[in-house]
Amino acid sequence: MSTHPEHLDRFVAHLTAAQSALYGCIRTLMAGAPEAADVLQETNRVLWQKAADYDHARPFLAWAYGIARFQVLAYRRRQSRDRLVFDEELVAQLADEYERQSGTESGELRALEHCLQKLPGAQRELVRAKYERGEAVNLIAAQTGKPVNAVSAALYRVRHALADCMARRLAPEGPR
Amino acid sequence: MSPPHDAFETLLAACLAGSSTPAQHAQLAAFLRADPARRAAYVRQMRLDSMLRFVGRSPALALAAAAAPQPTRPRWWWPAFASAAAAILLAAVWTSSRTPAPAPRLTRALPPLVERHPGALFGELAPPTAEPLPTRFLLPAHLLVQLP
Repeated sequence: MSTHPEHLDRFVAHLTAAQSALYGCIRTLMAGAPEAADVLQETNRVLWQKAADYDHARPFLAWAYGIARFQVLAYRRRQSRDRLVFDEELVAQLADEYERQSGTESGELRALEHCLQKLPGAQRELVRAKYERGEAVNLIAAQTGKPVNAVSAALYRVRHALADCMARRLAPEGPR
Repeated sequence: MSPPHDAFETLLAACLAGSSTPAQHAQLAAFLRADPARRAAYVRQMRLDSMLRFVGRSPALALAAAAAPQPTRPRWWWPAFASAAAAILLAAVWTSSRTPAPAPRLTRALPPLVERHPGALFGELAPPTAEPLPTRFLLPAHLLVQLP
């Protein structure tokens, strides 16, 4: 147990750096539900409460993922049965897979930024509409005069292209 | 670049678009329970989608837009803009020469307490202090994360 200022400073640095990874983990376990942001806040609150217990010799992310997973299950229990939530066993399987795929988050974000700049204009505009301006797929479909399914499929293709680009970029022998 | 070409990928695309029906959600869950490779594909897409949401709130996409070629526009308005700017500058100089010196400020800059004491987030870790804690400094800025 430590409430030493240096311990807390390092803890805050870990917690801040982990936000993107934790958000991704929670969204994955919640099938992309918009309430993921609320569960992230709750997870942050619990992590902060446990700050004094954290041992810096242990990997922060693995510890934080465990708490995030518990918060997702708590959220799941609060929801009625008709809500779009995964069962506990599937949540556990997905959490394991998420942790297995977790790499260096900062390196992945840099690769993503690089790959975004390589996208052709129309695809980049689609990404900006969805992720920068936060427009719903329905709205993008209405604005572009395309069926909703076609917009979903176009976004799927863009994410596929970005994933391929990032994989090439992050490969040990890939371009730096 | 492959489009979603099977039922699983169509369900995944709908899930990521936030347009899944309960029946589609149940089908997707069944696929994920049955096949580790599909769980891996689902996690890959979800991680990327979450990263995009994160990056989308940062200047990265703006940079991407800046890198795209922009159409050039005629610059006929530059002389008018320069004249207007000069007029505003002259008016400001003339006004400031007629304005009395401002009274010295009575308030002092408040110290960023939370930067010195991150524990102030929940109060209980904050050190005792004679200064009143200004409410707007109770949350450390580095913990406030802009979420999509």
